Amino acid sequence: MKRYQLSLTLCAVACGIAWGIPTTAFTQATPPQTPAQAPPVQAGGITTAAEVGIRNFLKEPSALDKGKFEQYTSTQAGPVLERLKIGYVPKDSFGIYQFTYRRPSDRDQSAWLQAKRPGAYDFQLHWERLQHTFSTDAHSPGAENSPMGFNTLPTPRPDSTAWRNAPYIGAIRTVWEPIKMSLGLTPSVDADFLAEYLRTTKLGGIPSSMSFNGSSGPQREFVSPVNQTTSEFRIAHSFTSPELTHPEGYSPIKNYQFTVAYEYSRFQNALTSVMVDNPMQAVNSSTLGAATSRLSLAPNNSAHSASFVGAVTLPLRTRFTGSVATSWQYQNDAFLPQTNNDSLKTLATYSTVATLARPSLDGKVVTSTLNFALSSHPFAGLTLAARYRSYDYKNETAMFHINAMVVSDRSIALADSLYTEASPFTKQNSDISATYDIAQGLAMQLGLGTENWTRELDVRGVGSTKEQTPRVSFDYRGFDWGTLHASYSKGERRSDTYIESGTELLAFRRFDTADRNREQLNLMASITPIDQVTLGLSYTTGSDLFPNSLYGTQSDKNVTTGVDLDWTPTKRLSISLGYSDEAIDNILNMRYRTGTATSVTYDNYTYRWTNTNTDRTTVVSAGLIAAVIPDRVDFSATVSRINGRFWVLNSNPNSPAGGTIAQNLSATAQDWPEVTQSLTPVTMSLRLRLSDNWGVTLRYQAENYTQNDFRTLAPIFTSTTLAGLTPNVNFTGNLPGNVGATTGTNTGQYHFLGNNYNPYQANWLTFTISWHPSALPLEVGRPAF
Amino acid sequence: MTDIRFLFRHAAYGLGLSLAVLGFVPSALSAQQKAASAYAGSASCLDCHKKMAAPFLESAKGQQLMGRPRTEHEKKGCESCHGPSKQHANSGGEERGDMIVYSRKSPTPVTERNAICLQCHQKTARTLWKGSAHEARNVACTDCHVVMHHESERGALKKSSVAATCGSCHQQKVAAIQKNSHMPLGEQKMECTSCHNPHGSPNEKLLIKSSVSETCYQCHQEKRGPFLWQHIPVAESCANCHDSHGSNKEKMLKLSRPRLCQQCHPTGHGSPVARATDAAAVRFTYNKSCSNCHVNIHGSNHTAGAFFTR
Repeated sequence: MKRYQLSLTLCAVACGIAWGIPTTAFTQATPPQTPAQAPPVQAGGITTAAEVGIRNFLKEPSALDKGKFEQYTSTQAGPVLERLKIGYVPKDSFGIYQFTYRRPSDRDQSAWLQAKRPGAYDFQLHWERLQHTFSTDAHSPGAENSPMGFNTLPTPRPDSTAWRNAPYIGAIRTVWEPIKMSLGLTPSVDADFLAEYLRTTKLGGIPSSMSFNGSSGPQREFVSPVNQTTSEFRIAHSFTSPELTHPEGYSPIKNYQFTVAYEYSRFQNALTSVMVDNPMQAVNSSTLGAATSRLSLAPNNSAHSASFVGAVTLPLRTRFTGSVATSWQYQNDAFLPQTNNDSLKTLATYSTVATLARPSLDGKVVTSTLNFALSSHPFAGLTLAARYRSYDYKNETAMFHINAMVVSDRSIALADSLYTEASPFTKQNSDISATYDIAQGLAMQLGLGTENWTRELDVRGVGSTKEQTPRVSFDYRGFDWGTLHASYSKGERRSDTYIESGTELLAFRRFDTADRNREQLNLMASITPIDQVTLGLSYTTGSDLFPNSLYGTQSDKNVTTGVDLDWTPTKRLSISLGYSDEAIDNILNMRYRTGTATSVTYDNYTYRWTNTNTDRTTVVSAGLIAAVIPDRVDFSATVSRINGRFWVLNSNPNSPAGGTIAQNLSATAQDWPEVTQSLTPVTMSLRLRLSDNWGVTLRYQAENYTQNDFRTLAPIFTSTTLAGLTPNVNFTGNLPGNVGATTGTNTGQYHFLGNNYNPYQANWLTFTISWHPSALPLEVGRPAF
Repeated sequence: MTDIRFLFRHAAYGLGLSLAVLGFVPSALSAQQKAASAYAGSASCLDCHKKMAAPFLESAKGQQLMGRPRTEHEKKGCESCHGPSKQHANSGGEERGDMIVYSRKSPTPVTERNAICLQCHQKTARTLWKGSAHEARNVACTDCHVVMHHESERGALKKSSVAATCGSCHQQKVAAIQKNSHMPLGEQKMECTSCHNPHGSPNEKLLIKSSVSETCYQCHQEKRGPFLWQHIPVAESCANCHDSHGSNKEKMLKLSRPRLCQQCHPTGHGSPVARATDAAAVRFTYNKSCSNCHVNIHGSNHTAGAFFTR
């Protein structure tokens, strides 16, 4: 509430300033679109501009449907202060001093302060508040035991009716507040010094989930509290030499630049864990699990980074650059106990988990990056380039041994005795290329890129992979009306060996280490037939094939087409049109397994299935900006349509056979329902400039969002009864939790919050009065591209 | 080891070729020493272009060049960027002469136009411009920046925001950030430059940090660890699972779960079905799918969290 009081106060202050400052004191903190109308700058004066007004919904989404609408921004009815700008013009008219505050009347807002003396210093302070809303329609029978936490359940545990009729718990969101200060100093023309400090707080909640007794449940989704703070401090010094000349008139080094930087980053979590009540257990049990289980939250950590970047300019437009960067990452939070299930203490094996090798991880990771690059234009029309890069990740944490592990707070598994895995890796890249003007306006580039990984063979199953990618590209600039670009590359990645684990399917390969053939084709055209028209065309197609993977990812293909048109027929009118279509197909081969390793259903050939993931996104947009009456009436309009769809299609090459009816049925692949999303945002703004000092703006905005995701929306749930048999329970509606329970009991295994982004329709009007409208460019709304 | 030899062998070829050329070919681009008499002076420019120059004169760059120049080069004012313009002025604007203009149809080659900008702007973020992907593609500074008037609040960009500017060429990325699951670029809460340095970087994809993961850790430090139980692909690259530019899948995932996870974990809980009447489908497919149980999938510091369930 205090925030809104503050916002209203600021509105009042802004209005006061706006009324109080004489016209002649005005200058443009941010120059206007039509600068000729601005009054002359006066030294030693304060300048102001503000846009205040009122917003009202014609159609407002309900509180339950606002999740997606308020995903990152908030839009509320009532008084609004869209923008406030205050500037100061120093007496010598040398320097920029400005303050901008945006949307103080809304939950997401920002402020920016700059004090700049060109060639001397540049101080900036940037504060922002943004939200990430995960849902507004979650419900839970839990009691609120912490902000956004409804994780405590009554005893006895709620039955299925209570879960399904549980009250809504309000919006689940995390609010970020980053504040960044930076000071840039220019002690001389040759040098720059920069110091930055960034502090971000994250407060709120996020949907999380936990299993209390293994994969067969019970499982419960809940709200995990978020209370985190990050601090980043960075200093950097850059230097550029003047032109270096040898006394005899020749210098092999023309000039050089370097930057040295140091950065410290710290992450602090006020919460080490979250306690969540078991939906089916109200008392601890050594076989059924704990009444309340603990989920660890991200531990505190820190990192130091240092880097050096240097560059030397040599004759014939030759440039040699090199950089070294190292990062040291630390984490040493005290370990949490393995379990809070006291009943396990009665077990003889409890002593195996009661003590730990050390009280905390004392984790340390060191990363190192080395980069060298050389580019040269030895003579007109020829460019040579070579690059080498190495990135090394080394986990220097001492190995940690767990004697035995408590599984889901219900049992102690000596067989789960585990060692931590350090898994260092090194990634090396190199690239050489030659670009030559083979004809008037036509440049051809030939290049060869390599990417080699070295990994821990025992952990990843693959020791090293090597990839070589030759490429060719053509750029044509022979026309004065545009440019054309075409590039093609074809690469092969191969691994030295692959160690299959005992439980893996024969000839299964992971997509990130598997042998891969990659092809990529890019076509682009930028056409400017007349100065007023720019047409961009693009076509990209890529294909990843995995020739030696019998199981696992088989292919990943994409095709993208784009058209972009900007047309400015007159200085008073600008029109833009855009279209993009993307299609992705990913194919995966898999085999269903059930039973023991020796059973016929474990490696049953007919249990193979193929999955095709098909993804399609279409974006259409149009925009218009017009000076209807120059310097008097401006109009802008944008509209977009973003359509996203994906399908998960599954099929069996052979009819599953050999197991029981139930097993064969589970192995029978089935297409998943289509998942769709669409968003249509519209913005129209009409601004009337009454005078240089005053203007009024009427803005109409509308959004229409739809989505259909079977995983969270209106599924029909039953108990564990298999398809084809009569279900015990049907439920339609958002996932409410306690799926699979017999009505009136608490035997359900899966308990969801039922949160989802609901479809919504919203349209609203904003009427604002602008003080010095020329300093406040007409903003075009969400589809600002 | 063979690879390193291969790399260095090819790098040596390139270096040797460059040095050979350096030794025998006369300099193709020496600094153009224009006679002082070819310069008209800024006052002459403003006689005709006063209206156009008004926003520039209020900018930091304008104040520096036109008000308090620090070097002989800056003292040339308008002509420090546009070159000698006396012929242009004397002809009443009819002839271009040696003057440099920065429109898309400028007859001055992009490299020469960029060289003018780099005279003052080669340090800090632009140290690695030469040899960068954008330089190689002949991108002009003025393809993204405009200094004579103001379209953006910061950065002297040609369009209103960084995303809109980058989107002039990267239309597919602009389309991606409008997908259902996206970072708040369209809402202008972050910028392309939060992750990329378009002026050149020693890192892949012009990233501002040494790796994909270290770039993501700028905002998501909670996933940095190191953890007691590391999920190795997380440290290798967040891009193994996430498409940072946007996705139709939840959490900007590349594939919907459980298919995403099954790319590396094919057995155990694998099921090809989505039948709500199948218990396995309910627990492994619906809602958060695999993450219904394996919730700390980015890494766990819980001593009982080897499988990321605690």
